[in-house]
Amino acid sequence: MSHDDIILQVRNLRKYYPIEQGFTRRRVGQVKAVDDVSFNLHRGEVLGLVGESGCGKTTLGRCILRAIEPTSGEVHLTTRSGSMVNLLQLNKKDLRALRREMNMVFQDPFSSLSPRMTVLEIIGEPLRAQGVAAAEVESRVKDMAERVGLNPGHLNRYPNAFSGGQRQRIVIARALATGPTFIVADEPVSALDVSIQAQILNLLQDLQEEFNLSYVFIAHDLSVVEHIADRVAVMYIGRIVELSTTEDLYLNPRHPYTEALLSSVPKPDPRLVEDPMILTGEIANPANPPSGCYFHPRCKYAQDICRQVRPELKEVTPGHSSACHFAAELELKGVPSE
Amino acid sequence: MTTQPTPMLQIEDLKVHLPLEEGVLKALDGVTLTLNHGQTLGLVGESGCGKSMTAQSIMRIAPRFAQMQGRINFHRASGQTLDLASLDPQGDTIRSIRGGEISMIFQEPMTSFSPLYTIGNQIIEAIRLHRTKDPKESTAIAEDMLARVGIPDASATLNKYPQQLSGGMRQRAMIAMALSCRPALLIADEPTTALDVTVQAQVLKLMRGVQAEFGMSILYITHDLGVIARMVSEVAVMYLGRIVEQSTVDDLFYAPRHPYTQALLKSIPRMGKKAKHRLESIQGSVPVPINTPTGCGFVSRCPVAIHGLCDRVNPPLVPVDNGHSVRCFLYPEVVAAAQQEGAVQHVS
Repeated sequence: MSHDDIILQVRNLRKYYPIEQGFTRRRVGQVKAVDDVSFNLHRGEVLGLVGESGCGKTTLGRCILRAIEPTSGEVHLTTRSGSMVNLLQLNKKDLRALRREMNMVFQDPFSSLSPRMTVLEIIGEPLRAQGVAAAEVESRVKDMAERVGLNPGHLNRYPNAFSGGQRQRIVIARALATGPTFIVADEPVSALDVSIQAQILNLLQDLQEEFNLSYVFIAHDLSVVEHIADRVAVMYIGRIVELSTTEDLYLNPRHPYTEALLSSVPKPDPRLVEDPMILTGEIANPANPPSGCYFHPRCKYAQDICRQVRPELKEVTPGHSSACHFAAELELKGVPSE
Repeated sequence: MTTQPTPMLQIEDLKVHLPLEEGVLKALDGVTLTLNHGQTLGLVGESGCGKSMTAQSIMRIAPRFAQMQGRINFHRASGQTLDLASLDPQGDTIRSIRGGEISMIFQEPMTSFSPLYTIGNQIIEAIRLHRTKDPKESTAIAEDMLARVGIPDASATLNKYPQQLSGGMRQRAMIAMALSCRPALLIADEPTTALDVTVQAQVLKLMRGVQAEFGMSILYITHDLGVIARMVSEVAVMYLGRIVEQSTVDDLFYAPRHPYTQALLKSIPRMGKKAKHRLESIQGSVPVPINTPTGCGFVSRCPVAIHGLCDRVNPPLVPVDNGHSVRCFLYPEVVAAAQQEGAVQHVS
C-alpha cells in the first residue's frame, strides 16, 4: 500500500514519429511529439494539460492510455487492488482487463459516436467488452444515463437525435460505464457553445466528486483549465515547460511562455486596457526544433545560454517547476486574482 | 473622427427563411441593425443563432433557396443608397460591390482560399476586378498589402500556395486580400477562431491596426466574449435569428439587460476567479428554429419568463436607455411599445 495517494506516475514518456521519404521509405528524421515527459497524478486530482496546437498534448493523453503505442518510458497506474502496474509492459490480455479502470472523453461528440448504434449500445459497449452479462448491461446503462443527465427513456434513439451537449453527456456516460478511477478528457468542452460548456464542466466536476475520479484534462482554453484543474502542466513542442498548482501558475508564472499565453487570452472585460504581450513568430517546426531552449526564438528574455543549453524542468519554489534558465530571476506577470 | 455618426449599413426587419423537408427554418427572423461609418460593431451569439447568415445575406452569398425579406440599405461612398436585399445575387451590381466596397474575412483560411492558385494570383484577381487592370500595378498593390499585414518576404509569398503557409500567415494573407480593394465595410466572420491564442493575439492587434489606418467600418462576428471586449465599441447579441440586445460594449458587460446576455456572461469561466466554483449554466439548449412557436425565442430557457406573456408575444427591440436596446418584457418601455403596436392589450 505504498503510493496510495498517487494514481498515475508517468516517467520519461516519449513518442517519436519517424519522417520517411521516397519509395524505400528512408528515414530522414523524426518528430518528437512527446519528449521526455514525467509527472504524477494524485487520487481525486485534476491535472490540466495546456498548450497550443501541435504541442503534443493529445498524443501524450493517448500514450498514457496506450491508445497510441509510446516509443519509450513508463506509465504506472495504481489499480483498484492497490498494486502499481506499468501499463507499457502489459500484454494485450492484461491491458484489456485493466481498461475498465481508465477511459477517455473525446473532443468532438459528433465524430466520436457511431451513428449506427443506439445510445444504449454505445454506453453499453465498454461493459460488454468487459464481459458484463447482457441483462445487467441495460440496468447499468440506465443508471449511468441518469447520472449524466440523460433521459433514460431516450436510450433507444440514435446519436443524431441529440444536440451537441447531450452527445457529450453520452460520451461521458460511455467513459464512466465501467467505473474507472482515471479519465483522460481530451478537450471535452471545446466543441460546445459557452452556455452548454458550463453545463458539461459542472457535470464533470460533480462526477469527479461523486466517484472520486482523477482527470488528465487536456485543453487549449486557459480559463476553462483554471476553472477545473488543481494543477496545470504547460506543454511546448513535446515537453512540459511548467508544472505547478493552478493558483500559483496563474498568479506567478515561472516560464516566459506561460506568461505570454496568459497575456494572450482576450479577457471578457472591456475596461481592461492593458495591451497583451504579443509573441513574435509561431510555434517552431517540431521536426526541426531550435537549438537550446525550444522557446528561445520567441522569448523576449532570451540570453546566449538559452540558444545553447536546453533547460531541464526543475523545481523553483515548492510544488512549482519550470524549464527556464532564469525561472528564479525573472519577474513574470500573471493574472491577478479578483 | 466623425462628429455626427452617419449610418453606413441599415438592416431593417431582415428575414431569411430556409424551406426544408422538416419545415421552414427561420435562420433570420426580423433582424434590425445599424452600422455607422468608422464603427466596429460586434455580433455575438452561439452557433445557429444566425450571425453568419446575417453576414452571408449582406454579401448575398446565402444559399440559393433561401427566401429573403426585408431591406439591407447600404450607403455608398458616392452618396447613393442601395438595397442589397433587392439585388440579383448574380447580377453585376452586387458583383462590383462584393470584394470591393464590402469584403469579408472568413473563419477558416484553408477552405476559403483555393488550393489551386497561388496567394498572389488570388489577391491580384480581386485587385484587377475592382481597382486596376494594370498587371504591374496590381502586383505592386498585392505585395504592399502582404507586407502591411506583417508577412515577411511578401514578394516570395505571392508565389506560394495557401497550403505552404501556416495558419496565422494564411489568415494574414486573407486579411490582406480583404483589404486590398480598400473596402468601406469589412465583415469579419470569426477571423481568429481557428487560431491559437498567441497567434490570435497577433491577428487581433493587426485588425485593430488596419482599422485605425484604413478607417473602414467593421462588422465583427464572433462567439468569443473576450474577443468582443477587446475589439469592438458596440455589440449586438443574437439569439435564435433575432437581435435580443444592442448597446455599447461597456454597457453590455457591466449592465446587461436581457436575461440571455446576463446568463451568458455568468456562464463563462473567467481567469483570476477563485478556481473550483460552480459555473452558472443556462439550462437546456438552443432550440432548432424550425416551426418555432410565437413568443420570445428564449422563453424555454429563461429563468424570469412571464407566463402568459413571453410565451405568446414576441417582444419588440426597444431602446430602454441611452443607446441601449433590448427585446424583453421585463422592461416597461418594451411592454409600452408592444401595447402601442397592438400586440399586447393589457398587462397586469
